[in-house]
Amino acid sequence: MDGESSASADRGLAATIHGAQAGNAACFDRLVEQFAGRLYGFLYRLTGSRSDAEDLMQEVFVRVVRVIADYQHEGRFEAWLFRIAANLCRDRVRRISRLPKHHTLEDGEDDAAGSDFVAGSGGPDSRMAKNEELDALGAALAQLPDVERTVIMLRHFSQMSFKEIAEVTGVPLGTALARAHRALGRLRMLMGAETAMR
Amino acid sequence: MSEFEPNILNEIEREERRVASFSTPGPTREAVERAKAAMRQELRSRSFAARRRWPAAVGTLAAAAMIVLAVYVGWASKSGGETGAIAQTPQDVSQLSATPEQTVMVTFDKQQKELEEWSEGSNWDYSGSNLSAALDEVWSEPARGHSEKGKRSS
Repeated sequence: MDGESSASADRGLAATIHGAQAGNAACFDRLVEQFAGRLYGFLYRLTGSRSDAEDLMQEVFVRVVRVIADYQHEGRFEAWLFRIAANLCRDRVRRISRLPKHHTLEDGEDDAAGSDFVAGSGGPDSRMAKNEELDALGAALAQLPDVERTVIMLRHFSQMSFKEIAEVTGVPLGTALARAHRALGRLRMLMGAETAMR
Repeated sequence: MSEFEPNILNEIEREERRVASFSTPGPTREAVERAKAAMRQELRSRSFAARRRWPAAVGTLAAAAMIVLAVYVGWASKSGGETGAIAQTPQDVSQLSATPEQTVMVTFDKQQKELEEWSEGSNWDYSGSNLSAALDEVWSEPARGHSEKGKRSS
């Protein structure tokens, strides 16, 4: 995308956000159309479950309705949106980790990944590893160290620049790049191993 | 970024393209429509709640008017009865009903209500480090996930 079309897209997004802040339902629909795919991908990679990703995506958009009036557009809508998503995901993990274990037995059996998430029987990485929907990328991501996985998630699903990632994670730009470099190298290795095993 | 070795930047770029080639599932059309419907419902419930707040605002306005009246009566009685302050009160009250003090109080009350509702949920204001912190927490909680992973891999 060249500079001009990028600026035009940002103006379009700013107008959509402005409309949403005024309570225009069509503008909210446009936000869903524009971000549902990436948001779902981000949540899917966080939870490892399609049904959890769908639930959380819906929850994120409902939350957007509640708080968009306080959002000030400075060209960082994605970062704001994905932070809501990460917060909701974290809240859900906290909530389920407080649930008594026996609660899991009442959950449906038709969605193994979903009930696994609700059960809180492990961190996102272990949930991913157990998920039947697991793919090579998911399996490899699950094995990365947390800081490296965070860089990959922010880069590929939040589509942040390395500068933004450095800011968000509170490290110098060089460190963010080095982490990305290490993480990508490790991913390549892990995915090669994963593919060989299958 | 220019301080970083060009070779490494090229490698990052190449690897990123490779990772991007792995597809990540997208939401179903139904899920997208459900999200839209949930948003609309939330919009409706919020506008309904705003309408319901109106009587409370009227009550606040009345209370503010009473306070202003009391202050005015006290001030007028202290400053002497030479102008017949009490006799002028009804006229003054009607004038006072649109004073900036009242407007500020009403606005403050509304903002306080919104703030209270807001604070019931999590804090969503943008500060860069929170996203990273939230992700870190998602990765690390509960911690036993790591040990389970370790067991599996061994």
